[in-house]
Amino acid sequence: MTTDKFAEYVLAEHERLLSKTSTDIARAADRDYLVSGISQADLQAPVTRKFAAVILHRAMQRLTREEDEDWGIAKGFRDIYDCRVCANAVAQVAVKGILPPETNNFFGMTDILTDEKASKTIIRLYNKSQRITKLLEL
Amino acid sequence: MTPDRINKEGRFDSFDNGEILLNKKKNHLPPMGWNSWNAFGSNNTEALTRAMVDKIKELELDKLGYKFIVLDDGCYKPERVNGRLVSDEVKFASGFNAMSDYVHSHGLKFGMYNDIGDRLCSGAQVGTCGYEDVDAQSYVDWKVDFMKVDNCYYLWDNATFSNPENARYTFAPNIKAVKIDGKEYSAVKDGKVTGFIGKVEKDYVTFLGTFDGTGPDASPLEVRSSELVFEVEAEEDKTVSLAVEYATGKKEGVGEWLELAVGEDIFFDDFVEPTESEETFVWSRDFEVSLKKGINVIRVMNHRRQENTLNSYSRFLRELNKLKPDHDIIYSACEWGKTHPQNWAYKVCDSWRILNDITFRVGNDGDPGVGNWKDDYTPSVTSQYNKAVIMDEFAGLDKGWNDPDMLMIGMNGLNDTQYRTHMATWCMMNSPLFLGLDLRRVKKGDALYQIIANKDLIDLNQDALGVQAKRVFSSLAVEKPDKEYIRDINRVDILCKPLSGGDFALCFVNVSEEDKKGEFSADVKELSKIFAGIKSAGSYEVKDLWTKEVTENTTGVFTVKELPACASVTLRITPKN
Repeated sequence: MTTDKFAEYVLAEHERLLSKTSTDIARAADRDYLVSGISQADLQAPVTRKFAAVILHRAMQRLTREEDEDWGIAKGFRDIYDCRVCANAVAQVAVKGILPPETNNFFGMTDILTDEKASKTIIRLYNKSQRITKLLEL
Repeated sequence: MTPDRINKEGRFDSFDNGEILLNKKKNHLPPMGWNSWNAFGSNNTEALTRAMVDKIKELELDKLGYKFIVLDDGCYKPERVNGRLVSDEVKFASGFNAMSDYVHSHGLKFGMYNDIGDRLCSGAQVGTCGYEDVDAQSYVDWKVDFMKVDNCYYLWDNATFSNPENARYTFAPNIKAVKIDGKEYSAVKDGKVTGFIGKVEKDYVTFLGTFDGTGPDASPLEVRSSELVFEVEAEEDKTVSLAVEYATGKKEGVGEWLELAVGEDIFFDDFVEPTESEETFVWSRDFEVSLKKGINVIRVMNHRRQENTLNSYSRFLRELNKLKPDHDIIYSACEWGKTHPQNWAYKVCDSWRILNDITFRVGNDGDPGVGNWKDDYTPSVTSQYNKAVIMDEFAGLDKGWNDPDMLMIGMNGLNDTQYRTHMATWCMMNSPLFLGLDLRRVKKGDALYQIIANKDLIDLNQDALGVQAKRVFSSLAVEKPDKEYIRDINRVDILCKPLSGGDFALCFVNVSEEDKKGEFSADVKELSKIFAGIKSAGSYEVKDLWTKEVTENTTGVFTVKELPACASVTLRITPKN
């Protein structure tokens, strides 16, 4: 799944799972927000875990209005500080159990998110009961 | 593409000569202003920036010195258009000229952001690398007064988001031996490893390069790079052959780029042929080298981590100079301390970040973000302070300023006491003062305003003498409080800052998160031994810069009793007859 498709998927599932309907203009504005600053090349490339985290976190900010939490175990990811622009997004999706790290101490910023995992991730974004609560047991 | 050839003036051996490059302007005081990053991260917009400009004027912060309005990452369209930078179509729809005009029309100065790599940290494919001339033209057209330049996606080192294999440019290969004039010298037995990072592994020497200073692990004061040196005696001046037995890699510690010198004469500075593995050693080709009669120092090394970065920051300044030779653009290096910019950045830049970011939880419209007082890594007030407080030797009007990153005053996670100490210490350390909060949250006279608009503190930061405070006491220092890198925050520090006109400032800082009992004192007799400009006097006028209380002192001993957790007391002292 490309980064662009992932963002579209996040928006589509927002409407489907939460029974929301948006005008074309509102939807375009939401999309712009989710993918702001991501280059066309990256949008057309397979979605990496860091871009997935950024889009999911922006969806939490704009669509679901979910508050940030303390970083908790995310502080221990050895690659968390590799990305000043996505560190908090990575931490939030991890500690909220939406997109778990690859190991207890490594998020895996640049690895590709498979389609199957992307789907599960988006479900966990909108359905808190599906979130992974025991990250340390991964 | 490969790294540029480096002239002597940009070499490691020239770092300590005190000479600036490219006519960099001197005598700038620390810049002050507002930067969008801590407040809004990548989500800053034209409307938000205009609102900040309006608030700076409403609060009259510009009269206190907050002049620069800096657009950080997230303001560009993520691709170039016809090779040029353009503004993000949604967030800055009116374009940067309009933004610049708005800022300037309010008597303020306009700052922008870019990167020495080929992308910005956000991933936008608009880094200056290879576009220095085009981008310099854009920034001149946009009447930019300030440039913050980052280090992500850097091509010539393994910086953030760079290819990790770029370490091949910045470390020498593993070295097993050298052969000089037919005689073989073992790296381990006959060579000497200088500096901090190099080490012996089995029968070879590795980590010939420069320690990565992005994190808080190492003191900024010692030499952070290593060379392998051999002392070779020649009976007369002569030309001899020299070869190196090496094995290459592409990771932190072992690379493919080698610098070879006799004394300061570098005779090789390039890639070597790669080897099958990091422990498969081969002999290089023979080099002809000239030895002088007597002892010759043969140096096997790689200083490219620092040299490449200096060169990249120079490239952009060179282009700005071509277009606008008399420009007075403030140039802020944001390479996060990775390459120890305190050693070289004074040559081309006005300030240099000393560590990775002070927070990774930046705000958004409606969300102040989060800052910490303490952290094991860089994102906290004390992580930055602990390092900056012993870096005074690198700062000055003729050099530039250590930059412990932007202010977190107004962010969640810190209390008013911590905000005050953050402000006081940044002012004492002559740090650039960039507000990082949504100024719409500030009202004239409220608690946040009282902190960011403390004119007495700002006067310390902007004092014409331009001297960063020195730590003259630390309760955890063993011997030299101004030199020891102390990361344990359970301590009290005293900083002293000479000021113009014979005044000086003292700042008593409880770095700890626990209250500190007892008395903490500084004696002017001791201070005058450290600072030529501080003289004993019959009496002193002492002003507390937070309470504004003015008292008289006749002893020359300035004492603070009991400091609550994270609190500080800052005094301005004026000697009287």
